[in-house]
Amino acid sequence: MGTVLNIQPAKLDAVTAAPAPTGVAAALIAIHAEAKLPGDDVAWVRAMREAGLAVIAKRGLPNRRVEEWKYTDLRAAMTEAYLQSLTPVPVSRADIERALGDLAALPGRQIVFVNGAHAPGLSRDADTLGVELVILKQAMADAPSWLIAAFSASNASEGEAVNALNAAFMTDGAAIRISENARLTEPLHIVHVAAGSDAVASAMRSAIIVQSGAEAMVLESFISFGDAKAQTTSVTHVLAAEGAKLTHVKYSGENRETQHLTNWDVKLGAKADYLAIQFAIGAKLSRHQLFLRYEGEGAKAHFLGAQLLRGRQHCDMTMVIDHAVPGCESREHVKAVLDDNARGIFQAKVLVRPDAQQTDGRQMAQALMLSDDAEFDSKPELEIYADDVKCNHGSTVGELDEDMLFYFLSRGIGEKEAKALLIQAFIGEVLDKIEDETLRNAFTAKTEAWLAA
Amino acid sequence: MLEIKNLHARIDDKDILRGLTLSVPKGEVHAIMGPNGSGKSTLAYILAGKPDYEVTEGSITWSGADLLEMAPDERAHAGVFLAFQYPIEIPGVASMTFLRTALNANRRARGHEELNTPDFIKLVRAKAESLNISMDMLKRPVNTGFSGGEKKRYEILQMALLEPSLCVLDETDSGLDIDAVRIVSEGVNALRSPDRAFVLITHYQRLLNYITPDKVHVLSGGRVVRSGGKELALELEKSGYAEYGEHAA
Repeated sequence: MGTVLNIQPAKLDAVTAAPAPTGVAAALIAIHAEAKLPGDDVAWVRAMREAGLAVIAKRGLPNRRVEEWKYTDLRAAMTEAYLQSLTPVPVSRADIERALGDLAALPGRQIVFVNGAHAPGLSRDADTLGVELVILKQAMADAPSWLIAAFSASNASEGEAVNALNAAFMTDGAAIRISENARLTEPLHIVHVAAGSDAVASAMRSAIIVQSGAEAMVLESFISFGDAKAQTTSVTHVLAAEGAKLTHVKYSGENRETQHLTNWDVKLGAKADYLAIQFAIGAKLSRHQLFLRYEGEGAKAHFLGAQLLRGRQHCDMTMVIDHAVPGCESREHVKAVLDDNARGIFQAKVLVRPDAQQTDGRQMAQALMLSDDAEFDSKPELEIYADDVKCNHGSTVGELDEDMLFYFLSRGIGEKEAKALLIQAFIGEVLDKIEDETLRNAFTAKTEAWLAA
Repeated sequence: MLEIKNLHARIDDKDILRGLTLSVPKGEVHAIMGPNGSGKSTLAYILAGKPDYEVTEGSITWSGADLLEMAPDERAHAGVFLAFQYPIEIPGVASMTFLRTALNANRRARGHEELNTPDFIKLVRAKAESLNISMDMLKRPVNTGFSGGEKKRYEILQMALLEPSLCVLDETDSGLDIDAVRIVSEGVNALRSPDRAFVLITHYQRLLNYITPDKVHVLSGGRVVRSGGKELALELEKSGYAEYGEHAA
């Protein structure tokens, strides 16, 4: 078996047998030919774009016959391609704060992008000691070497689809570098906004480099105003060096016309401590990929995922955790609350290489079904080549407990309120692990608002 | 007045209650005793409205209102309270949140203002103290990690807070040591009032040493087969339930 996102040879042959790209893949290539993207005259940018485009041309979009995409058939789901929006759309700070809700209460810098372009006027920015921030579009021509190095390193397999789509169209993003031993007291918040009445495509590529001994929290929020369709791709390269500590948070709260495809591509140095939190409540279709590789001993990575979905929402959290060195710890805990015809997916592959002795890996996926028509798919994969490891996985799918519900009702608590409390308790098992109180309260408030809607 | 007339009920196609008739006036405590399997807990659940049971015949009214027509939460608003034999653990819901949600739901339903946080905490603190419940215990999730005795005391605390008018206690003494029985009994006795009726379900006479009943009923085969005063409980303690269908081991 290869790494999880390798397209298997037989299937690749079937795809490449097609003489020319068709459908949306062809439309994407045509759009690319027309579009004037920033940095097209910069060699490294052009090389990345061309490599991405070549993958689209050769393979098209992944469909359900590609094992890693069997629950999310992108070729079937993505029936249109749009130009990136060129007309500026008026957006106010008040709009942003309203959409962020309680997340707006977090202190610190906000770096705002609207339809894939940096919006300095909407950002809440001030120089912070120990933080170097580079806005990709401005820096393309003379990008610092650390940024290019970060972008060219990927744990995803060659030709990975989201990486390719994003590379072909990337226009902007935030590259953040935290100095050695800097301990940031306030989070950095990257806010991606989709706005306007026209369908909009945007592609952001960012980097978070936390140098040795430094500590930081970085959030990425995805929000939208209005009901316009949106296609968003975002790839974030992360490096937490030796002894660094990073809390990396995603809030996906876009409208139900959004297609959200993102990669977090993470490398951890020795004794690094990485906590990833993803709270997915928005979008019509979302695929949240994490490719994480341990490069130094004694590092740990914890992933907390929450999915709150209704209607026909589809949310896929897929990750590959590569234990390449000994003595590292990985935890993944995902909770999904699924109503109506919603579909939640959790795929986690944990690869323990022959040298990675004393690996400690555990994963748990739990879904609470509020409707008979909802669906949850959980696919754990443990691929273990070392003999002294502790690895396990678990998965549960259940409905609200009738006896618990009766206990509430018997005390005079109405059914809606009782269910809300039980659902909050279910999600709370993940949210309560968030140490930052403001962040925990913000996601709790978002859960309450979702339940009240 | 609680009036149960000719009540027949079943669960999973098994008949449990077969013509149970019982009246409990306000201000009185009635003990329901009987052998295992006689339908005692079924009666408790049906009064509270547990959906698993099907009532096939008969009626239950409380203060003239038809309980069988009401959802479980509506019954609670009408004053019905069941202290569970096995209170369920609810991880993730804080005990205080649960108490406050329940109290305010009942206050709203009864046309009172919701209680604000300081007043609520003051109220809980006072009631908890008399039941020997620490505020630390109430920081834990509902019934989660509670000992058997703590679970029962938490039930009585809820009863004291919600001030129901019909209190149904299902084997509240089971699994309790003598000190816990005393604390729980004192909690119940403190709630006795002319406006309140108690249905006290118990297998053993022990609890009745602490809570003196006005009447004792023996349930067997899903019906009340004998009624008497408190001395009936003492008689059962001596003779056992052999003549009511349970044989000594």
